[in-house]
Amino acid sequence: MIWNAWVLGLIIGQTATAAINAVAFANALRIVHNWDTRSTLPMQLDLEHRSELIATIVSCSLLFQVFSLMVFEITARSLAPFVPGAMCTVGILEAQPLGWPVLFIKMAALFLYGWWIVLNHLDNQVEGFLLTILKSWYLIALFPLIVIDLLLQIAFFTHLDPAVITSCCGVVFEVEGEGFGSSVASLSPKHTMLGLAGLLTVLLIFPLVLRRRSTQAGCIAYALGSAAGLVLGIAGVVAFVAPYVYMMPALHCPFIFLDEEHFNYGYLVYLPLFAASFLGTSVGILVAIERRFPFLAAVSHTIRMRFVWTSGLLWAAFLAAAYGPVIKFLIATGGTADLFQVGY
Amino acid sequence: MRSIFYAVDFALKGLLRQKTKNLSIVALFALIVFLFSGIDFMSNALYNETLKALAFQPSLIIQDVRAGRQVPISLADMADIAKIPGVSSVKGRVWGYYFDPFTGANYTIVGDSGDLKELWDLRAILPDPAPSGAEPLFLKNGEALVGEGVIKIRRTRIGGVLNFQDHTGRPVPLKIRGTFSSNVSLWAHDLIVLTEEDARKLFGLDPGSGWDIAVDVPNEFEVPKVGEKILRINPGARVIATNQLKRTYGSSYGFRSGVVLSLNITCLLAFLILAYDRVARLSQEEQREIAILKAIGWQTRNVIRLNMLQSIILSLTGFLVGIVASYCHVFVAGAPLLRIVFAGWSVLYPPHPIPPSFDISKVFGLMFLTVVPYIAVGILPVWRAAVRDPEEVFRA
Amino acid sequence: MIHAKVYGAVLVFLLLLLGATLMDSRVRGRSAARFEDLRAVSNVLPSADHGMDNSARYIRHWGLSTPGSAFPDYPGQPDYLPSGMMWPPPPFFVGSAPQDPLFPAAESTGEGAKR
Repeated sequence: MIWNAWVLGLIIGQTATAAINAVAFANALRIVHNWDTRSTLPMQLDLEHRSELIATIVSCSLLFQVFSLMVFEITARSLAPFVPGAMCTVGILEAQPLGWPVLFIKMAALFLYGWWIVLNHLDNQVEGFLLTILKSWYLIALFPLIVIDLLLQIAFFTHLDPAVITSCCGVVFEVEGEGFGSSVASLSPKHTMLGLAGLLTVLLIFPLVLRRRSTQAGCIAYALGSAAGLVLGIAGVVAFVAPYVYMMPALHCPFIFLDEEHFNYGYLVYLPLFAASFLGTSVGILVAIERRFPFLAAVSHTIRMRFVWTSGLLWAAFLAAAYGPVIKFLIATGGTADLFQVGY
Repeated sequence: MRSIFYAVDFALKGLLRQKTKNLSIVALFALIVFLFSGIDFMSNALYNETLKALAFQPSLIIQDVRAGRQVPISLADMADIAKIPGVSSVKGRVWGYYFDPFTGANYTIVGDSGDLKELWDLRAILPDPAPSGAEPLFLKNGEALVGEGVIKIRRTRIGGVLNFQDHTGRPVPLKIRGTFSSNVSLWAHDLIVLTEEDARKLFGLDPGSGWDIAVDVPNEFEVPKVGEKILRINPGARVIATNQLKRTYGSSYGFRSGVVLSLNITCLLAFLILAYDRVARLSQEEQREIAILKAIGWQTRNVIRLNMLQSIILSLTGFLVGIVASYCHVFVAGAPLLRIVFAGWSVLYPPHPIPPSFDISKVFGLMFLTVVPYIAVGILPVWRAAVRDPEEVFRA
Repeated sequence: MIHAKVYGAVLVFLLLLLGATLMDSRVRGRSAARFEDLRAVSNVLPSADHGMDNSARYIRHWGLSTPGSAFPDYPGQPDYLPSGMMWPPPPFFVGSAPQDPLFPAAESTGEGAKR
């Protein structure tokens, strides 16, 4: 199914990203090979210039990767009518064993690029190219991921067979059904709601505490909490946010509400979720760097606190976006009805 | 915030210093976006229209085939088909195409003696509006509802008479009772609805047969089973499922737009080379400018950032211009430049623009296809220009 | 500053235009009246098209014909609902005969529910 405008567009864009990353990769290799801060040869100056190039490329790649994730979802959605059984993105992802891996690789790439940029930001604040070697190795490790992303994506779309019947969100996220998706969908909405609200409250209060008394341990706890927030947030979207958006207790699809029929509400939920958990986990990365390079502690601390603060705000935004439909439902029904009792 | 403003201001000043070059970049970028989005808009809107119309079509269509060609189907099996569990209605249909030798156009002829109340309620320009009340409305023999295109090409009007010939050459006069709303011109432009009897006369079809049989199966899951059972009743028949039709349409549109798009990739590549050139071969003056900036204390990072900002300004402007122009071209003007790709050389084209189908996700997709390669291509030369030693430039 | 302001105005204008197209597409593309009209007409329409599943090579729908088609049945034939593709149809173009792929067993009710 590669002969499709969306698929071609996605592959072209992704190829461009991979191509500039290849340039970055080559330069990173050169840096780790010849880096010597004490050297006064022109070679060292050249390498320092090259580190700038890498930084630019990675910053752009992050932006492209965000696009790539969105466009991948849109492409999969647009292909749904051609595959029997598929009604939305889930159906396409299920149609091929590579579907979910591609999605997860794209999401992982987002975080990995982001952390690289955090490191770079920190490195730029101080003199002396302390983190350059680390960043280069990081990038060298990251490059295969991008190539795999591109290759898997091409393989996924070429092997997408419209003759194979697939199952869609109704089955994958079926309450009391089989499989991982179903078990997430089967989580009790009430308990998930309470659990997520609890965790988010903690994540909201934490920045206030950290502002008063910031410790490294506290920051690591916050980072872990943010990681848990991402997992629980997605589980919450499946368990209760999606049904409330659709007003259908049995429809747990975490993709359909990204489309324009639901006013692209999904973006409003996912953007704060990803941004907040990204900033939250970056705090942990910064602490880890501080441990390795005590010299950076002062600069890192300021950046860290800003991240904690922003991420707290974003968690608040996510809280509002996730519980908005619930509250809307409660107001509409006067607080008497329970969506999940109506359906069953 | 303010610093961003100043940065944009500075970047713009730099861009304005080379007006022709940069404006041509914007124009070319807009053109590329125009091309790509036009194709996407067209195929998507057409496909959406097809899906909407197919939603009301019968779930199964049965045709009779002899020697691989479609022949009239005997309506005798209809009673048996109606008995299959899951089938809600069965209808033998009389329809076909009529080639009009005077105009060289093909019309679609549909014989329908059923209740046309809904069709009459269509907000069309009918000379005598449908009588109010709940009683069913039928066409009388010798009357027809005729699509706009046919009326126009035959130079007649509502209330006028169309003269057709049946297969033996005898004339069949039809009085035009009304036409269809331009909302549905994509479907009804060449459509002529007349009574079943008239249609049979026109096609020379005997009363015991039709051109196909439409079977309605309300439950989508039962369609394949019903199809199998129909094949048991009439093993030589060809059974077409509407679901399958939808998929075939979808892949056909996707395929076609994919092919056109991949032909256009050459354009994109040519443009990218141009874009590369813009940043790679900086003029003496531009190099000097960068060198001065560096000499007064700018870092490589800042120079790169300035250049990226310029790239973004150029591509964003071009993108927005292109996409808005493309929308107007396809959905307001009716795609005069592109329709040939999708429409072929039919004599009867619906002149109205296709109903639009455009949403924010298309914007993202097109951005990924155009803006991302453009920016990606610029990174390396920008960096190369930014790291040149000022001294080297001044001496050159 | 003046440059940034002017450009900002241009950008805002373009974004407004883009917003207008989005609104327009929502209003025109989903107009309920048009949908009703379409429903009324498609009740009598033979089908969106069986051209694709038909032995006849012509295709009624104007979106589905190619200028690349040399001629439908014989050279110089006037407008016989052009189709005939320059490129072959996609590989998954399911044929018309009642073969197995048309009604695969898995698509039947029982199987479908289990999946």
